[in-house]
Amino acid sequence: MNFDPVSYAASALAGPLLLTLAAFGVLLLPLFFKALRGTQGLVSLGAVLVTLVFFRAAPPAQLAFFSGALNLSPLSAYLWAFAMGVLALFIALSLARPAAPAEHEGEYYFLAFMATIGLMVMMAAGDLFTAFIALELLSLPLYALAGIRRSKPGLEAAYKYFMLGAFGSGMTVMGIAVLNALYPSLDFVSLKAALPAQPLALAGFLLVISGFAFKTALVPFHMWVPDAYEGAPTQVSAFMGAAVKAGGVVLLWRLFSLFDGGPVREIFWWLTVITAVFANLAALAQNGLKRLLAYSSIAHAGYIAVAFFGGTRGWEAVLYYLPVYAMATIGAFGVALILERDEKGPKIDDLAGLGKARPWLAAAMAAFMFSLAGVPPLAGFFAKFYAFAGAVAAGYTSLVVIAVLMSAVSIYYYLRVTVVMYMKVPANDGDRPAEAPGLAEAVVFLMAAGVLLAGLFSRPLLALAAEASRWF
Amino acid sequence: MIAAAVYFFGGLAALATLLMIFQRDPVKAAMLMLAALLSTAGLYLALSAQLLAALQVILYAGAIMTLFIVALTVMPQAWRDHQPKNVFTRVLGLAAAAVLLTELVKVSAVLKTAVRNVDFSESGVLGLARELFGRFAFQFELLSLVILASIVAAVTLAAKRREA
Repeated sequence: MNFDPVSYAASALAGPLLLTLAAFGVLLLPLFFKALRGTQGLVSLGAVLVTLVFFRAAPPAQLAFFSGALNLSPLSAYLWAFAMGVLALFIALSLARPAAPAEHEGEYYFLAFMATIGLMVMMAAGDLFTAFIALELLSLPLYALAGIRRSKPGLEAAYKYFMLGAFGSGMTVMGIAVLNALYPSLDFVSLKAALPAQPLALAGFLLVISGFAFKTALVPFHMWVPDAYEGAPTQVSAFMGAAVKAGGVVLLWRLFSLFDGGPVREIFWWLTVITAVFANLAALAQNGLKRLLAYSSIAHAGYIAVAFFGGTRGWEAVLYYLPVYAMATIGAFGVALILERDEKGPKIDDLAGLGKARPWLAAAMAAFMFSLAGVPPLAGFFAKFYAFAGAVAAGYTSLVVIAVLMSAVSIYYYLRVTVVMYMKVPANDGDRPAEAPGLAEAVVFLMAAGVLLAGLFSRPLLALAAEASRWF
Repeated sequence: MIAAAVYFFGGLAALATLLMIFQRDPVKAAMLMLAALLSTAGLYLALSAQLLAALQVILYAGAIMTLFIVALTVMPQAWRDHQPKNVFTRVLGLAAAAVLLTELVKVSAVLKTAVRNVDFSESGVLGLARELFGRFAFQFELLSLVILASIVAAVTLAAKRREA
């Protein structure tokens, strides 16, 4: 080791600390300085970009901080960069079209920062206890963000999300209490070492797993997703889809990898199958674009869960999958944001004629849809390919067959969006919403380029994912 | 001396609770409940369980009572205390009270025979503080962010909207 752990820790922790500082800045400073009012978004974006610029590649070692509460490694660096990237895109989308009423701008960005810090801690958490507190830090701000407009659909989304989220948190904390009574320590390493097959321990683990499955939205813990995604401001839906899911996936993976076999794996198998089947079938019946994306998000949670069965290769695949999925989802929500006229977002039929009216936007949307469906050469194809290949290599062929079949079903509804855009004549011509400011479109095109490039040149991202996955 | 303190605080707690039950005015009932909670804290102190006493004051007399008062102030409906008209409801309430009373008698009978270590003073504040500010310092700090975020979230959702 030819690096100084202390200076590395200082530079690595500078990320979350800077974000915390920025959060307090955007919350408090505009209260005292009138000139700063209305600039919270720009300040936030600047702070995140500065944080990203100062972000340093981690040295190849795993360092435990705060009595093992945080594990910093190339893995955490990869995931943290991902989280901050999602935050930057979220802020850019919010700048393009403000989601919050003007007097709540500061709170809006403050809550987004808090959620991201919770996400980062959750991704690097070394024990269940820290992970739980981080989960709360991630969830609580998002409940409020979902309802920040205080309109009817927004409050409904916030309320449903809050009630089911609180239920999930309750299950997690009960499970942690059970495990705390049984094991001397709750950090993942010693849990793995001390794991006997005890019915009570199994109950504890299942409670914890169901709690995190709520966040990842695996069926049957998905009930909140469609309403929350539809009713929340579209920017917030994009953040939920990209960030919250990633946090849940990392934690579920950690819990999953504690078990080499036995009932927990079997239960995961069933969760995966039910998720893939149900979400894809339910998505077929959707008319709203945001609802469609919500079901698509549930389905992708299922595909990511397939990768869990692939061992080390699966982890690599998950790390590649997360940013690829995030790019396509943020992009698609960005398109929904540009086209939306009311809070619930555009219907799929509202996209009719987009291919002629705004060909570039339609092309980008088509790219997102094909990437989500898994059509080569877009990145979504490789993500699914690696996720499934690992599981096949590990001998879970039947699981992969089901996932591939359901993913074929998904092509129908993704393709439907594209067909409507290019082949359907708009019902009421000339009723297009006003041109959005350039920033939302910039985000959309950036994401489209990302989806395309991460597919055509998948190696650099895959190499990063592989390097990070070694530190799991 | 200790026995006297135990009987004093115990009697006070029982008295305050009884008064609270038969009090019709919700605010007075809340105040009597506060008295009951505080005398329970005194009871703990008499048994030299300082940590428990402090937690009783902070959590019950502090946080939970505040919640009650806030709920009373924002819910004017709660001020009108209606007699339950339904006979069934009354019988149900009496039955529940009877069950609780029997359980209480049974448990105290068991507790009389059980031998236990009465020295609470060792279980302690110091140990808790060491864990809280030592091993769990990071989680403790993180929790402050959680609470802050919840406050901001709650205020954002509940604050009266300013006219632009």
